[in-house]
Amino acid sequence: MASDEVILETTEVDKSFGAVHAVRSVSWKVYRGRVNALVGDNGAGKSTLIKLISGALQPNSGGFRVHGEETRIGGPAGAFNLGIAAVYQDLALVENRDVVMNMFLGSELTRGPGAIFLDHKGMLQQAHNVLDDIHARIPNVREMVRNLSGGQRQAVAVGRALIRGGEIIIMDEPTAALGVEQTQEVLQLIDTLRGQGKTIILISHNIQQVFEIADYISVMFHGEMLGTRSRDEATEAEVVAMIMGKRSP
Amino acid sequence: MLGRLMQGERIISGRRRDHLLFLMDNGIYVVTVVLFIIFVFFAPFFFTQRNLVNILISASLAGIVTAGYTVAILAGQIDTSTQGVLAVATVTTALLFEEAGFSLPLTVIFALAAGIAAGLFNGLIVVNGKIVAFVATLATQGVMIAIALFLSGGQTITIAREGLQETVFIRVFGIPSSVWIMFLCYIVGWVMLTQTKLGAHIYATGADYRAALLSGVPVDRVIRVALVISALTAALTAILVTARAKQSALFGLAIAGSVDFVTALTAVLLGGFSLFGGVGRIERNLVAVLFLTILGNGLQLMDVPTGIILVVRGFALVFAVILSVLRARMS
Amino acid sequence: MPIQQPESQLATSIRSIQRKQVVQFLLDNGLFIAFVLEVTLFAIAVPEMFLRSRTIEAILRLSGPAGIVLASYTITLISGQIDLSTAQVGGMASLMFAAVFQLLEWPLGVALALTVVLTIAVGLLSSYLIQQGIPSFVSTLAVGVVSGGIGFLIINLAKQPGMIRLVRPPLRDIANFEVAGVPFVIPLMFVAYAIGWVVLNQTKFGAHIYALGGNPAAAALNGINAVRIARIVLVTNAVITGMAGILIAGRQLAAQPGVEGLGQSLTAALFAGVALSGGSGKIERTLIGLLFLSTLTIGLGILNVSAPMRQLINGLAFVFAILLDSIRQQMATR
Ligand SMILES: Nc1ncnc2c1ncn2[C@@H]1O[C@H](COP(=O)(O)OP(=O)(O)OP(=O)(O)O)[C@@H](O)[C@H]1O
Ligand SMILES: [Mg+2]
Repeated sequence: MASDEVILETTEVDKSFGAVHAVRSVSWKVYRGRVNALVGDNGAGKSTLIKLISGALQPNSGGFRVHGEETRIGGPAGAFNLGIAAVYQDLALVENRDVVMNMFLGSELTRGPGAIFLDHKGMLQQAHNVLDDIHARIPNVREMVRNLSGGQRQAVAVGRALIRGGEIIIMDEPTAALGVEQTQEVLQLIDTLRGQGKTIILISHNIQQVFEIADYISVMFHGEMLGTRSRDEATEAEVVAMIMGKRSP
Repeated sequence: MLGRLMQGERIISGRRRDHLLFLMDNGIYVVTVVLFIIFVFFAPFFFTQRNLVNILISASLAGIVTAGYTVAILAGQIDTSTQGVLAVATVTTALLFEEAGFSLPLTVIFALAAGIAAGLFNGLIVVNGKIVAFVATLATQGVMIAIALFLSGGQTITIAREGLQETVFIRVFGIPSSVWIMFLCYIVGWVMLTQTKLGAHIYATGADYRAALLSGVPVDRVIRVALVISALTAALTAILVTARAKQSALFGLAIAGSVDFVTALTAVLLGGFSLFGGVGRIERNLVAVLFLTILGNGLQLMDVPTGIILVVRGFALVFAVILSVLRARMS
Repeated sequence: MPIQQPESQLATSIRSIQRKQVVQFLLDNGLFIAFVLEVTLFAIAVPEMFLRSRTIEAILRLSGPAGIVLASYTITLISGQIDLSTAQVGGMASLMFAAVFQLLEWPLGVALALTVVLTIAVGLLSSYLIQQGIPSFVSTLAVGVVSGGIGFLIINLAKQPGMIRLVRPPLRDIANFEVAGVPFVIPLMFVAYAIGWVVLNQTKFGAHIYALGGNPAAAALNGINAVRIARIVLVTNAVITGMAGILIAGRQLAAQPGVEGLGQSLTAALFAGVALSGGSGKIERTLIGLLFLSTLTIGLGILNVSAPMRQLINGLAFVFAILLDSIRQQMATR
């Protein structure tokens, strides 16, 4: 695995909220085409770090390298342009809209002059294609998101990330609120994405799950990045110790 | 919702914050005094005993409404039905005393009961209908005004019978009774808010409805009580206004310093109470009421057109709301 | 306590599902039923007075300007903003227009342009306050007080008694202009609705409006510019409200602060199933809501119901409308 290519790198990224130092000078490598798991206790700064990567927050200092190039991530739109798409913890879905409109939220297809009018047909077609690609089971894409199951919602949110041209898909605790079967569905989905060459950043509290699916496991503690292990060389005990704040040699 | 999202990005901190906070907390005192001095020089008849007593009375009337209004805001309920309650209570007072020939105590009791009924009606729609107070009371206000119009036949009822003004609107130790009543309201309010369980519950409900609910605070009852208190003080004001004017009052055209919910809301916000569940100081409310009354009175004496007074009043509310948001951002 | 049989439990749950379906059906279609019922009742009560073209025309005339406002008001509501300044902005605009056009006798175009500028300013003020984190209902309430004041100020400055007469042609003729016997405000209203429908359902902007009203956080995370949308929507609404105010003043031959007949937008929209919290609702339905209320006004007028009684009925209609919205919300989240 040493030959893996780094697709995204943070360099000494720092973020505070008033007195709370949520992310402390984090330098972190994310590997292309792999599932990169990010673990850590509640409040360790995981969500904040990925919000910085996806442009939802701006760092106080530090930078990013995407595909080896120094870049700024100006905002959510800037992140999309770099191929970074986040699936947020609360999924950022609009309950009262259907699956298609949610998948194209903010990047609607248009036709006609001035990109004013919606291309309903095109969006429908593309939504079907994307959902088929990730083997999502959503019988009716005109159904309101409000009526979908947890697993289906996750699929819609991931579908949106793919439509956005996401090469790096960030998933924040995608299975946190799901039952056994739906969790399995989401893990399948992650595996499918990896099969298609996508890079995945996965935040999870479930160590077993992480060991089941991830290629790399990175641990945060009190805002700091303690280190990254490849799955094959790490043990569960070691990762759990790191989560508790034990720095390994 | 929209705004709150953006607000997170702009947190004001440091020295600047302390200066600003100090200014916001104490600015109202300075501004009121300055305004007073300006009017002494520029507004004819402003600094006469008669006018000062007038200001005192107007301020006390607005102050009584504001006292109850503060309780509602603390419970997280923006009550917009004040004008409706005033209308119902003034018509009730005038009708019962003048046309039905009720005795004074009975008239007062029924007028207050009308206020309580209005508050309960608000509570019913807010709590049982599960509707935010702001919208619910906007709707009930329409109903209340219609009922008042219905009862009065759309006419102003003049009170020819002796005994209302002479008994209600008297001077005690040289000070108009409405001022005493206002102080009484604030003392009762202060004791209730700071010394009783109900007060603690009101604060809790307003600060975090869900947390209060989950920790066993009877939130629904608290909201009902808060809305009743707000309506009750409005009814009390209506009795005083009716007694003073010797007729059922018209609450149509509202001018700065007059009694209605715009004044009350402005005063409460200037007092540092927040639409977003912050905590203010009740004495600042009083100063804010005084400020708004002086402003309206002085401008009127300077013969400023009503339109400008109304615009100023609107901007006072705008300003108060912006202050309240700034405060929320800083804490 | 006897243990419930599985069958009876099943029966209970089926019954509760059925009940839920009935309620949902009524919520979705109740407005149509109520409208038909209303027309039928009036037709039975006063057949010769109600069922004639003059009455129908009166209902449509009443709906015209209000409908033009309602089209944009609905869009505003769907975007998540409650605008409470409608009546005052309409009044202010009509007074501004009347002062410039009638009293100063400036050209029509100039008077219109000045009014548009004023209403744009008012819309910008509302959206600025909302941008500062102030809820829309408080922002627009304050702006409504300011607008009402400006209206009064215009009356003061013009030294007019409470209103400004507005009889100078060609406005009088425009406001009462008829195409083939139909007052032109009626087709104008349908045009406003057609534009509103296309914007909401066929454009990217419309999709963003729904998203913003439905879940502002999600919209922001997906790169939708909330500030820009709120600004466009509120400014448009203020301008259209102002124009409708002028039309109403032109018909009544007088401009007044606070326009009657624009205050029912919220009731009509809620009747039609537009959510008070934003993000959902169909614009075409609000037209039925409006016709329902206009028919009520005209019908009660024919029945000689007293003004306070009519006001009471309108007030109760508003209370009923917000209760409906609340029930709808609860059904949706259950
Ligand atoms: N917008 C914010 N404003 C202030 N503090 C914040 C904000 N967002 C996060 N924090 C704080 O930053 C710290 C890190 O939070 P973060 O959400 O990144 O943790 P996390 O690792 O994702 O935790 P969890 O596993 O519980 O989701 C916490 O102390 C949190 O309270
Ligand atoms: Mg998190």
